[in-house]
Amino acid sequence: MIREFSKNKTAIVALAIIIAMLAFALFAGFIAPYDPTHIDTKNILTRPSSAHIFGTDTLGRDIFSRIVYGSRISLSIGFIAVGIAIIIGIFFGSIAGYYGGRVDSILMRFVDVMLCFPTFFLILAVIAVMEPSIFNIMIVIGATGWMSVARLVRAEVLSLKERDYVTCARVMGAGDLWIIVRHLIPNALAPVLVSATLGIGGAILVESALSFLGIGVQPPTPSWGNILMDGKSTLGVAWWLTIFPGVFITLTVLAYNLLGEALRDMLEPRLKERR
Amino acid sequence: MNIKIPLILLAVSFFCSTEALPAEDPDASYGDAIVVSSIADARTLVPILSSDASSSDICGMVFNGLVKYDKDINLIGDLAESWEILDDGTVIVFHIRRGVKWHDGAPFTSKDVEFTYRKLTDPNVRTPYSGDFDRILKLETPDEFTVKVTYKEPFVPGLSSWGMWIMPEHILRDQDLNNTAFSRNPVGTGPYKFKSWRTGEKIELVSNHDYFEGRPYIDRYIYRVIPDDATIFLELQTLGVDLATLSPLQYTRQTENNFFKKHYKKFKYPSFGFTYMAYNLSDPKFSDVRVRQAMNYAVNKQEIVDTIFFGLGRVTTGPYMMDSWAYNSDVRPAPYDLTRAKALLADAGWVDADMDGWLEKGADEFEFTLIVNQGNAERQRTAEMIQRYLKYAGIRMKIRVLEWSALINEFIDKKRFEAVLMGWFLARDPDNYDIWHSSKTRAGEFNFIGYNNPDVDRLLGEGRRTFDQPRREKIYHRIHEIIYEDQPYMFLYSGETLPIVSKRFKNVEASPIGIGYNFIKWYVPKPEQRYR
Repeated sequence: MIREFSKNKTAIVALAIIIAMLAFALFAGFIAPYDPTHIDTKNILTRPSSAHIFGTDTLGRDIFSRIVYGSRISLSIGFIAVGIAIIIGIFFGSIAGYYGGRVDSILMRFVDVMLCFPTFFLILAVIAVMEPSIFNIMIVIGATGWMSVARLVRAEVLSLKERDYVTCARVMGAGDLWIIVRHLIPNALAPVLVSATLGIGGAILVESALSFLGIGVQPPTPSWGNILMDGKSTLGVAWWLTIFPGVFITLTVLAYNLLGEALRDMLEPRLKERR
Repeated sequence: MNIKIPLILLAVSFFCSTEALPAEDPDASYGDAIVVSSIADARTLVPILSSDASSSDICGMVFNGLVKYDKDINLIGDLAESWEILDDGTVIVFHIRRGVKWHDGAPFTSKDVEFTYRKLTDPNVRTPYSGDFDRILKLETPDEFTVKVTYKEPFVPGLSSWGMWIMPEHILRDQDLNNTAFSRNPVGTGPYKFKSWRTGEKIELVSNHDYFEGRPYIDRYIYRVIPDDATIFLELQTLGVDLATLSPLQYTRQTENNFFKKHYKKFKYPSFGFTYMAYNLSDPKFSDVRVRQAMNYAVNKQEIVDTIFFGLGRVTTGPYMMDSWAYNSDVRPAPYDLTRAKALLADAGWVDADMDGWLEKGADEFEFTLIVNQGNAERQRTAEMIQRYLKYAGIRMKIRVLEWSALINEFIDKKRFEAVLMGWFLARDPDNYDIWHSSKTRAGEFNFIGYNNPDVDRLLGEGRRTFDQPRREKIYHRIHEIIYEDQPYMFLYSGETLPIVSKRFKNVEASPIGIGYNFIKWYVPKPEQRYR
């Protein structure tokens, strides 16, 4: 599997970008040359230079430092939101798939109902009611993103539960919980992994969009979305406020999507053939 | 003309007044439309309920008061042709202009004035302007064209308070003003008639050909709601809007090019307002005056003006227009002095006992949330700078950005806030009783911080009774001093108003009162007209 992965050049590049971003986030304190919230009124909107490689914003804050610290926010929102989505999705999906019948119908209709909401507007509505904080954003993105995971898991479980080893486990006296947790979920994880990788990219985009609209991460905490928002009002005089966070968002989301697709090709040969 | 920044309005903005121009311009021709951009939508077009800049912009076009200001800030007649002040200022007799018609054709009479007065003083009507009219003992209408107002005692702001827009009795007689279709379909006497309103998008007005000061040259007035500075600027670049208010950054750095020189004319004059950070005084953290004074020492306002406004503004210390006689220039802005701030906070019991960089009092950390409206980049940056200054003092301030109407309806009116960054748009008369008097704290009224100082209450009452100008000046200077000492607000700055107008409009002139005073005389020469 690793050999197959190493042959896939795009996947390698994607992985490299992701690892670089993770390093940024983990070692932000060492990488960032300045405090991301440090206001320097003598250096407002300076062009990229050796002192400030990505320039400074309207309050003289170093853009590079803000982007580095912003990667913490973006990535942690991506991972945690998707983590929440996966947990909820696996829970509903495995129960629906395993028990089938009425339980299945009810849960899947609920999934259908949830899917009917335009997710982004649902998130906007929820954030408008709750306080916009990083924590709430994670929960909301997670709680509105689990439906596709539930469907995937359910489909896998539906076919897995007919396998001989499941019957065998049952004959040996295993309870439902044991069978679901020990036999079904581990075997259903492959498509979930793919969907999660793709989901992280999506969550990062949603966070950026929310922050861009001013209802995401609140100042002065930098996030890629709100750096971008600051840049919008100065686009005509200071392109560096917009371009750099934009490039970072694009690269990161692209990397997760490419990695997700590479994983899918490896783990799900069936899907590959169908394409 | 205050278009960009949603502020609460203190008083009616006397938008449309006209001077008889010496000679009519030979090029002057009817037609065309003006597209005005606004960052916020209007809230209500019931004039006595409108308290935000957008609603007032529209009401100013559709309605008239009895009096208005001319371009040199002198009171002149509007719906009133003339008036007499009798009995040492307790009685004003207005003689109303004859032949004025409402937009639906009904004649305008003194009954409409009486009706407006009754609604202004009706406790069931949620108007923030009742303060001026509660002083009236009785209002009589001896005939259709005479209104006699008798005050309980001499009331100086009385005359200017009649700049309040007059509403049509024949339409609103039996209606509940808090909840009427009129708020989205107003009928006035003004130079423009209401045509349509698409919420959050635009309001369209058309010129009133029978306007008593003459038909306005520009046929249509389109008020476009564009809730974002940057988008408004893009619209300017594509000539999509004709009139906008620039941000200081746009004014100094983005419009100094040939394109803007060719298509637009920029103006600059001191704004009639100021920006402040208000504390909820019922919050135990802020009820201690030492804390508020300390915060004032801890924030470097001059640096805010230099950084965010590129110097296009001034640090202010009080609730009056900076160039007016009421402003007490002996009140000097407190210097930026962190040591003094920390000492005052320590006096008030706030010390950094656990050495974590943040102040505590017992188990409570000094932490609060400042709310600020969305779409105003300068204010948000100001908030971020204040946040940094307060951090140096050991105070943790969070910022929450809210949409304007949510901020007013859910947080200010319900008093669910700790601190708020906002602005006032000021009336020409310094009588801001409604903002500071301790009786004005109900929901929707302007003393939303709960300020209560018996001395100020007394002086406010005295100020509105005193006709003797030097004495009156002393009173307001004293109020200014007391309020600065009390620091119910942290007074921040008064910026410059920076409107930009498409060059195809002629007759646009700056004046002490802004550029909108002669709007009905603005015109576009036939060959340059853009809209049908």
